[in-house]
Amino acid sequence: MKSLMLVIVLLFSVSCAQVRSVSQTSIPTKRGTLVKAEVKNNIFFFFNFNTTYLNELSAQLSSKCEKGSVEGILTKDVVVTYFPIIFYQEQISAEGFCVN
Amino acid sequence: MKNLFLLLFVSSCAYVHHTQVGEIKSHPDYESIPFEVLVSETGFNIQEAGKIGAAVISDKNAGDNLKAVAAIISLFQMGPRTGEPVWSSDTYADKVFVGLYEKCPSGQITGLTSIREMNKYPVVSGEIVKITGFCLKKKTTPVRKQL
Repeated sequence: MKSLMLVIVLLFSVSCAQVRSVSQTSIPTKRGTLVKAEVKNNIFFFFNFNTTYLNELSAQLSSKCEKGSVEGILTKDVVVTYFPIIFYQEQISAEGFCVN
Repeated sequence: MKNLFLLLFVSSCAYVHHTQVGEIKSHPDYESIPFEVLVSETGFNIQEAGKIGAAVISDKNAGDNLKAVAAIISLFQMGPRTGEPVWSSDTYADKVFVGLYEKCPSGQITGLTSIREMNKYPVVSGEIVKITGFCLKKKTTPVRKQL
């Protein structure tokens, strides 16, 4: 019985990362400083009711490069499962070059 | 048992399939006005419909037949895809162009974020393409009053 419990605990303790999508815009010849933005969304038991957190991405990026433009943006959409079925996290990151 | 099975399906959730952030430009003479364009179509999960139908129908043979029909139909829905298939038209996403033009007639658009998402309900789903961005508009300078 104890070994069965141990197997169950081990199964639920494994975290896995899954890349859902990746996109890249054209990279500028004059690369400035690298700016990065990331949003995270915690999901319990698959219940998720909105996706408005994604709107913060471009706002975060532009706030880090107020006097220039952000080019060569790599957007990465990753799902990390911490406890299967119970809890997983969506991590969407965007990074690009701030060109003045 | 049937009630439990139905309860599992009677939940609605939002799923994100794809996100892409476009280049962001800023100019001191222009102000950024945020906008959002959203197009959607109803998707249909034939396998889910088959399972629910089989759970509702009391005759076991009829329920099994329904599941078999659902499985056969789903075989025709091949290839990589996001979300559920839509029956009416696959060109609904083309309306995004029109929406963008309506929101920003000047065409000076920046910071486009395109999101492919799905609102899932039992059997049906809302297949959504959402575009958010900023329309650049030239700042208006206050006119001096002539003395």
